Amino acid sequence: MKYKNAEFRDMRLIENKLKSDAMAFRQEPSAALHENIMQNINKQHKVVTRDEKVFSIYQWLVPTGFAMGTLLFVGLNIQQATVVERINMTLPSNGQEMTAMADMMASFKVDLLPQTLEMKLTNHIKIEQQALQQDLKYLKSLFVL
Amino acid sequence: MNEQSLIQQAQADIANNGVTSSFSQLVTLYQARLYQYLLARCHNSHDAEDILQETFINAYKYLSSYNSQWQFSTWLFTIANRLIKKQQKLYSQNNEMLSIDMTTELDTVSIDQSNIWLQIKKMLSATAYDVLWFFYIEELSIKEIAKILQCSQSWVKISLFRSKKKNWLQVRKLKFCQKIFFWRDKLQYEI
Repeated sequence: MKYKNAEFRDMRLIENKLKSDAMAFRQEPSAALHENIMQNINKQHKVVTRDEKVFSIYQWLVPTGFAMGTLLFVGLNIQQATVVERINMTLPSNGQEMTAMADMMASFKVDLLPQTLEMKLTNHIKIEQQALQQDLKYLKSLFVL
Repeated sequence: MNEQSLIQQAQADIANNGVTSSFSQLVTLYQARLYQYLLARCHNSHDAEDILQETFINAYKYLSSYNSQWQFSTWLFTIANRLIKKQQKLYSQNNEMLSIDMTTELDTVSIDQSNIWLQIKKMLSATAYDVLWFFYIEELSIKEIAKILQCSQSWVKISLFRSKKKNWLQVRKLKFCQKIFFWRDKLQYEI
């Protein structure tokens, strides 16, 4: 910053006065104050570490407690049998076999119709046979009389 | 051990087991400068001591967040400045400012009333006072002053210029008064 001569002199004067008068505030803080600061810091450190320990306990306690509670709730409310059933339903014991069967069935789709017809016929014959047997029994009983 | 390594050592100590010997060295290194600023700013030794303590406690607590791109003194002054503002706010809330102002004059031990810093305090705002102090006494850069006072660099420059101008005008006025008194005395003597 450029000043005119008179201004420069005044500004220099002010700057020097600022620096020299600031020396009046230069007082060494007492040793007791330094001690006090360090004591407070030590106290603060203790407080901080204690807080951290408490926090770490909660940090572990809360999730484990929650997990255990959930497990207990599930265990008490759902019967073992239903669980097993559900597991059996959702997870077939032999998955590979099931998929192979399904593939086979799909590939022989055309042959499925006659197979079912045959099954129906055999069933019908069996029923007819049973009816005949019953009729014979009835006739026999009539002859006896 | 230089300043940066001392700070790193203190950071490591605090992170590991909280040994405060390295931090104690930092306190010893900076407490005089900080105390001088606080005395000039508060004009009250009790307040200055309280804020000094609080500043170092905060510095200890948040040392891990210290950014080494700034000087350590800049960081300390920022904390101290915030604490001063906080205290002033507290005083103004409790309507104690008036009583404190009255006691400050008495409590400022061995400070002459003609001291320019006492005059400036009456003349300028608190922030302008800080700008002058940091620029002339702490010899900090404009950038660092802006960082401490949380304002732009151009604002710091403007504030500095206006404060200088006010001071200069004050000096001119004083000189003019001195001249008038001189001539008045001379005339009275001659008559």
